[in-house]
Amino acid sequence: MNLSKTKQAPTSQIEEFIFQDFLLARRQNCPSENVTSDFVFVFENDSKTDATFVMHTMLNSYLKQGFNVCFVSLTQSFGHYNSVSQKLGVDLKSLRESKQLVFVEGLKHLGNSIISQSDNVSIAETDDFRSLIYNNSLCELYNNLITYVDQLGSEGKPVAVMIDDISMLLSIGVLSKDIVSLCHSLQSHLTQRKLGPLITLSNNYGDDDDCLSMVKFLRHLCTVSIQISSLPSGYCKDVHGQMKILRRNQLGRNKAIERTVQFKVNDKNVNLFAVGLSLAVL
Amino acid sequence: MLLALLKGSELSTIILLKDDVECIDVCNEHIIYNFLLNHSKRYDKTVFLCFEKPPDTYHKLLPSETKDRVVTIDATKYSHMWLDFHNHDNKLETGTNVRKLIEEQLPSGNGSFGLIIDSLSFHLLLRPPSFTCQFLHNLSTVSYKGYEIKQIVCGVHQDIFDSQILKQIEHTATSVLTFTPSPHNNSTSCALLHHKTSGKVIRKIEYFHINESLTISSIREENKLTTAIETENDQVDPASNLTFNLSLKESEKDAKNQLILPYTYDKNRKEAALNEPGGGKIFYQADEVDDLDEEDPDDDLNI
Repeated sequence: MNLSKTKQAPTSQIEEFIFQDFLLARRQNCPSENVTSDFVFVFENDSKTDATFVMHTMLNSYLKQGFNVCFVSLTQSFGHYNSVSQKLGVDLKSLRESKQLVFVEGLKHLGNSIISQSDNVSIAETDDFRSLIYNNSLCELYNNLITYVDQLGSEGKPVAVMIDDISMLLSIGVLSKDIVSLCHSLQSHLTQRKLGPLITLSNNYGDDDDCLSMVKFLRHLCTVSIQISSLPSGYCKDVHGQMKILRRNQLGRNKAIERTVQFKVNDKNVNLFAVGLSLAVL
Repeated sequence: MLLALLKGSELSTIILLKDDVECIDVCNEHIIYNFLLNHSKRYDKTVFLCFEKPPDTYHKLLPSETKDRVVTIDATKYSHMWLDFHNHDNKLETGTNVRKLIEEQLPSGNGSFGLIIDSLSFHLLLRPPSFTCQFLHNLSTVSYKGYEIKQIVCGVHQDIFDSQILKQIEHTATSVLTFTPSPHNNSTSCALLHHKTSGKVIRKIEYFHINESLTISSIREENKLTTAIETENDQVDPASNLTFNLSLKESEKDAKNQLILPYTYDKNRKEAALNEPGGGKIFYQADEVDDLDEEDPDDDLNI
């Protein structure tokens, strides 16, 4: 993958925090395989917090950096992402038209599949979610994603695959082992072709064993995990939660990186501060 | 013991490595790499079967002289087939197919070979645990193209599965190494359960760390048995802080032990009681007022 083609863009505080390694490699002009074929797993540690701001940040950041992005949305519509991105200075509609972004509207397709299933109406062959609803099989979704990814990566540009939020599949009856297999297959495909990173988000469903074991398995498979948790001391209007980024000590790297910060999500940006050092507290 | 198992001075047929998500500094990957390095030095051939990470991640770090002794099989290439879990039997996962795959990749020859599987987690996730046990057992008992299998090393992520499932796999293994991060000295602790060929079972906890060149150095070890005794001694004695005396001095204890209580039957006292002469005879002397009848009371009966 050619990193020199990627655009230089001003980075915000949270982008600095998440893409620390990547930005460092780019500044030193040394593309590193380890950095670019990451599997970033974002997860909520408890049900009192919301991690979608990380996905919004990463989506915009990858697009600004010149990545081609394949985004699978299972919880929100394209309109929602578009309006958030516009606030952050990226126009998803035009990027979608210029084929830099492939947006798979899971929410819409899932809804259609369920309606057509109950009404016995045949759906279009190309629907990614047809087999998902009929057989709980992720094969078709995987095959279609691979086709999109290969198309996006055909010009040698880096490709980022993002799935928001993967735990939604659990709720519609897909087994956790299939979700883990899907992520693993996507990751190994991206690594083999040296295309780029895979980013997924998972919710936390409290004491659901299936969800817990899925999150644990994905934490084992990922190279970078971002854990979002609410404050142990309870709700605070000036500090919304805590974010922990962890890059495990993998072979070839010599050190595990673990950093914890607290954050406040604003309308257009996210403020980060060291634990216990928010201006509201000091 | 960990180093002995690594170097091969301690024999073990199936070694199971267990790590969890909290092991951020040292995880199965590092230990697997060390086993791979040692296997490639020790055996004629080493087959490395990768289910989680592509084998190149490990292979590129090996010294060049041992590289050609390692045969890698990249099962991550087939991972998308795992999605179709209804048709598993036609796919790579079955024990026979892995055997076929090994036979395809292994050049014919003779000697010894070791097998390293980076993770059994996908096996356990997608198939019943008994399948994985059979899979391991089958692999450990056959020879391949003239090569005799000496050791199988496999990793598993222990926090994903129930203890019941893990126990089944542990019974199949001859050594089980459990890694957890240790609070002191930035080291990792390894709880070790090893069945020796003589039948003796060894339990130990070892602390080690891995340096930048990925070599393991053992810091210290302790026997589980001794730690158990220590914890017993650590328990607070309830009689220690009383205002009155409940404990005995040594001399008082001796005196107490020597005293035989009156109704305690030791051997001597029992024999004396049984062999005592006389006793038990009843003499009856009639009173004046007693009305003794000399006649036989049953005399009138005609029997």
